[in-house]
Amino acid sequence: MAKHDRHLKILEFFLKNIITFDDRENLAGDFEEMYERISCQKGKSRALLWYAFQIFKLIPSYFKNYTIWSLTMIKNYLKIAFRNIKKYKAYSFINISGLAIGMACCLLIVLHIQDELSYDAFHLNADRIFRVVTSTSGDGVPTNATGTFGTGPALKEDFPEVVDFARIRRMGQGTRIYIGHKDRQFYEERFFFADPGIFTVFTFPLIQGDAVKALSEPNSIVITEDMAEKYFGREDPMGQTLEADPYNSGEMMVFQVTGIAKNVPSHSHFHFDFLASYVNQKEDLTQFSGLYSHYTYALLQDASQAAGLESQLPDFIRRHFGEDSWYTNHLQPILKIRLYSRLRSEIEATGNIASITIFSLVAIIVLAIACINYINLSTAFSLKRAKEVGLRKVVGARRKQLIEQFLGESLLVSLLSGLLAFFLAGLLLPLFNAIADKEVTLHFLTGVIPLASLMGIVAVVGVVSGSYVAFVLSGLAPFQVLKGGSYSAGWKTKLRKGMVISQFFLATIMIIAALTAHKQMRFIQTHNTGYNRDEILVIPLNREARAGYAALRNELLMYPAIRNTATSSHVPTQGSQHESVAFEGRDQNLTPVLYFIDKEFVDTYGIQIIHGTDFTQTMSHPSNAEFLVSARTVTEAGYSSPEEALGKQVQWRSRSGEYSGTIIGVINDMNLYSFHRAAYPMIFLVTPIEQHDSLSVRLDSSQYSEALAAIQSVWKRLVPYYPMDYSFLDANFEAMHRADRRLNDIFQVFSLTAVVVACLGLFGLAVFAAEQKTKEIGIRKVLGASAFNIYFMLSRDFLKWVIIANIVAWPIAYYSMHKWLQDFVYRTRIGWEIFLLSAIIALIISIFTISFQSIKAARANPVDSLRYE
Amino acid sequence: MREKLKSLTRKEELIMLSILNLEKNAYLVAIADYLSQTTKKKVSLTSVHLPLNRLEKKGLIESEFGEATAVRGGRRKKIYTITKLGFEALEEHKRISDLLWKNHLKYSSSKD
Repeated sequence: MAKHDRHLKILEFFLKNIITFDDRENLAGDFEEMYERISCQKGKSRALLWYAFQIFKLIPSYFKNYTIWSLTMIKNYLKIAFRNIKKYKAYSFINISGLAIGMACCLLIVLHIQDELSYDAFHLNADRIFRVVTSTSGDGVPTNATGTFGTGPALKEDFPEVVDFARIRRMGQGTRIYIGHKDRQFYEERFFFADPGIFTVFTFPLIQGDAVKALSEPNSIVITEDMAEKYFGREDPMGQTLEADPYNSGEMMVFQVTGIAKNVPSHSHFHFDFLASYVNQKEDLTQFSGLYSHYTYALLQDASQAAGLESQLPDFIRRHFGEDSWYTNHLQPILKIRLYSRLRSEIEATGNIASITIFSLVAIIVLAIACINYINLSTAFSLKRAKEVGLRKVVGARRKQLIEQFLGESLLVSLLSGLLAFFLAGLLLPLFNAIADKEVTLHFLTGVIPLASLMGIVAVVGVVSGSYVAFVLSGLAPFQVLKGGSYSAGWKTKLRKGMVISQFFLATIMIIAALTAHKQMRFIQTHNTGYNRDEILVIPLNREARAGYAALRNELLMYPAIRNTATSSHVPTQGSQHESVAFEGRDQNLTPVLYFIDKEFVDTYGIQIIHGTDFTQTMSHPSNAEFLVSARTVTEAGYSSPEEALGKQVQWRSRSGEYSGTIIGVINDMNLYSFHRAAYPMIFLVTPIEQHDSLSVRLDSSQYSEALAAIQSVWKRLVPYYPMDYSFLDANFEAMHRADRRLNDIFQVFSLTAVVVACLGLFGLAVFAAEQKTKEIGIRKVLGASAFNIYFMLSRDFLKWVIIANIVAWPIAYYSMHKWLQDFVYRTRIGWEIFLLSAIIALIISIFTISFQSIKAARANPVDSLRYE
Repeated sequence: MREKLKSLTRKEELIMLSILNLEKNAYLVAIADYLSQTTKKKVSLTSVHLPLNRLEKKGLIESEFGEATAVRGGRRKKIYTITKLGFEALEEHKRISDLLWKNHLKYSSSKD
C-alpha cells in the first residue's frame, strides 16, 4: 500500500514537471482521481501503469514546447548579451581579457601537469617496471637510487615474479666521457653501461639492429639517431667502431656499433646517447656487492606483486650479502620516479610534486582574481541592468528564466575568454617552455585533455562569476527598480570592498613570494660557499694531460691572466667519493667526502685554513699521510675544538688503497652541492696525479677571454690528441639551482600577471566610481574643490583597501615563504623590507591605475557633468 | 452580427452539452465519464482536455476552481461552465443542425 503511494508520488512529480500548461494542480487532481478509480477496478499496479503511460504520452509535446520557447528566448538573450558587450566596451574588455589571462595560465598549467604525469608512461610495461632502490638510513626509507650490481641477476634467479631485469650504470660522474671516431672527437654526458635487458624491460625501439642481441656480446655499443649523425654523418654506423674512455683513465675501449636507437623521448627519467655492453666494465662483477653505482630495474609479472616481493627483500639480501647488511632494498614504481622520487644519485634531476602544487595554486590565484573582477564589475554595473530585469519581470519573466539569462551571459563572456585564452596560451607557450624547461605543444586536435579542461574551466568560471549577479538581480522586486530610486544598499559596496581586498590580498602574497624567491636566488649567488667559485675553470684530465701536467702548468702560469692551477679527484658540484673513515677516539666511523688533491688545490680554490698548517709533504705516504679536514668533520667526529682535532689519527680502507695518518689542519666548510643540503664533512689529502680527474684553473676574472684563449692554445700544443672540454664552476653551481631559479621565474611572471589582472579590475571600478559620482564631482568643483581634492576623494577608498589587503596578506605570505625557505639549509631571511617593498609595489601600481581615471574625472569641466540634467 | 461566432466541431459540441448536463459538477474527469457513458465508448482524459482548453481560449466556456476533495489528494477541481457566448454558439450550432436534419426522416422512410 505504502509502496504504491510512494510510486504515485514519484510519478506525480514527473507529471508536474512535464506539464507545460498552467493548470498543473487540477490536472494532477484529475489524474489522481482517474488513478483511484482504475485502482479500485483493476488494481493498483494497473493504475500505476496507466499513470505512467499518461506521462509518457506527454513527453513529445513537452519537448516541442520546451525547445520552441527556449530557442526564442535564447535568441533574445544572445542579442541582449552581445549588445551589452558592445555597449560597455571597457567593461567587457576588462572582463574578457582578465578572464582570458587567467584561463591561459590555467591552460598552461594543465599542459605542464599533463606533461609531468606522462613521464615514463611510454614504456609498454610501465606499470610493471620497478626500480630497486637502496636505503642506508636504517629506517627503511629509501635514500639512494643506486644499488649494487649483483641485485638484478640474483632477483631474477630467486623470484619467479621477476620476469626480467636491466642494470645501467652512468659513467663520468659530473665529468664528461671522451668518445671518438676518426677525426670526430667529442666529450659526451650520457654514456651508460647497460644490460641487454634494457631493450626488453623498457620500450626503447631500435631503428637498426636486433634488440635482443645488440648488447649481449662484449664490446658492443648502441647509439641514438642523433649520435649516429654526429659521429658518422651519412655513413652507415652499423658495424663501425667508436673509441671511448668511460673511466677517464686514458685507456681507450673500442666498441662496435650494433644498434641505433630512437632518441629517448623527453618524458623519460633518464636519457642515454650511448649504451655499452655491461660486461665491458673493468670492475669484478662476479661478486654480489662491492660497487653501489648501478641502477637496477625489475620487470614483474604483475604490478600487484611488488608489495609481496618487497617484504622478502631483507631475507634476500641476508642470503646474498652473507652477513647483516648495512642497507636495505626497496621497490619504486618507475611511474612515480619523476614526481615523487627525491633520492640521492638520481640519474637526472627529478620533478617535484610540490612544484606542481605551487604552479597550480598560482594559476588558480590568477584565475580567481579575474573572476573577482567579473563579479565586481557586474555588480557595479548591475544598476544599469536592473531596469531591464524589472521590465522583464513585469512582462512575465520568471526568476528561473532571469537566472538562466544572466548565467548564460556570463557563460558567453567566459566562452569568449576561453577562445582568447587558447590563442593566448599558444602565444605564451614558447615563453612558458623556456621558464619551465619543457617542450610542451598545444594543438587543437591532439590536445584533448587541455581542450576538455579548458571547456571545464570555461563552464566553472562562467557559473561561478555569473551566479552572484544572476541570483541577486533576479530576486529584485520589479516595483523597486522601476521606481527609479537607488536600490543599491550598503552591502553592495561592502561586498565590492571585500572583493577588492581579497584580490589584492592574493596579489600581495604573489608579490611577496616573488620577492622572497628573488632574495633567496641572490643569496645563492652571493653566499660564500667556502671556496672561490667565480674564477675557476674546470677541465677533465686525460692520460696525455696527466703525463704532461708539469709542462702544462708551467706554460699556463706564464700568462698573467692565469693565477694558479690544481688537480684533484673531484671538484665541487661534480660528484664525490664517500668512505667509511675511523677517527681516533671515536667508536663509530664517519662517512666524509674524500678529495684527493695536489698541493696547489687549497690555494687555487681560496680555501681558508682555520687551524693548523697546510700540507708539508708534496705526496702523502699512505701509512703516514697528512690530512686537512673541514670544520664540520671536527664537530661530527666529536672533537670539542679544531685545536683538539690537530694531531688526531685517521684511517680508512677503500678501493683506492689504505690510508692512515694525522690531521694537520682544519679548513672551512664547503658547499659542494646545492644549498638544499648541509655541507658534508670533508677530508683532503695529497695524492699522485694518476688519481685525479679534474684540472682546475683559476683565472683573473677581468681577463676571462684572454685566459680562455691562452688555455686553449697551450692545450692544443701539449695535449694534441684530446679536444679540450671545460666548464665554469659558477655555471655548474647555477645549474644545480635550476629548479629554484625556475620557481623564481614562475613567481615573477605570475605575480606580475596577478597584479595586472587585479589592476584591470581596479581600473574598471575606478571608471565606475567616477561615472557614478559625475554629478557630485561637478557640484564639488562648482563649490570650489580643487582637482586634487577630487582626485583624493576618488582614490582614497581604493588605496585604503590595497593597504588593508597588504596587511592581511603579510602573515600568510610570511608563513608560506618561511616554509619554502625551510627546504634550503642555507637560506636568506624574510626581512621587513620585503613586506615594505610589496606594499610599495602594490600601492604604486594601484595609484597609477586609479589615477588614469581619477585625474580625468577630477579635471573635467563641471559644466559638462552638470549639464545633462 | 452572428458571423463572428466560431463553428463547433462534433467533439466540442458533445463536450459543451456534457457540461450543460453535468451542471455544477463539470470538471475534466466527470466530463470524460459522462461522455463515455453516453457514447458507450472509452474516452481518454487527453481527448477531453485539449478541446476544453481550446473552448476556454475561444471564450465559449469558462472555469473556476471548486472545492477540494479527498479522493483527489486534496486538490481542487476546475469546474467548467458555459458562457453567454457559448450558449449562443450552441444555439447557432443547433439551428444549423436542425436545418440540415429537417428532411432525414423523409429519406430514411422512403427507403423502407
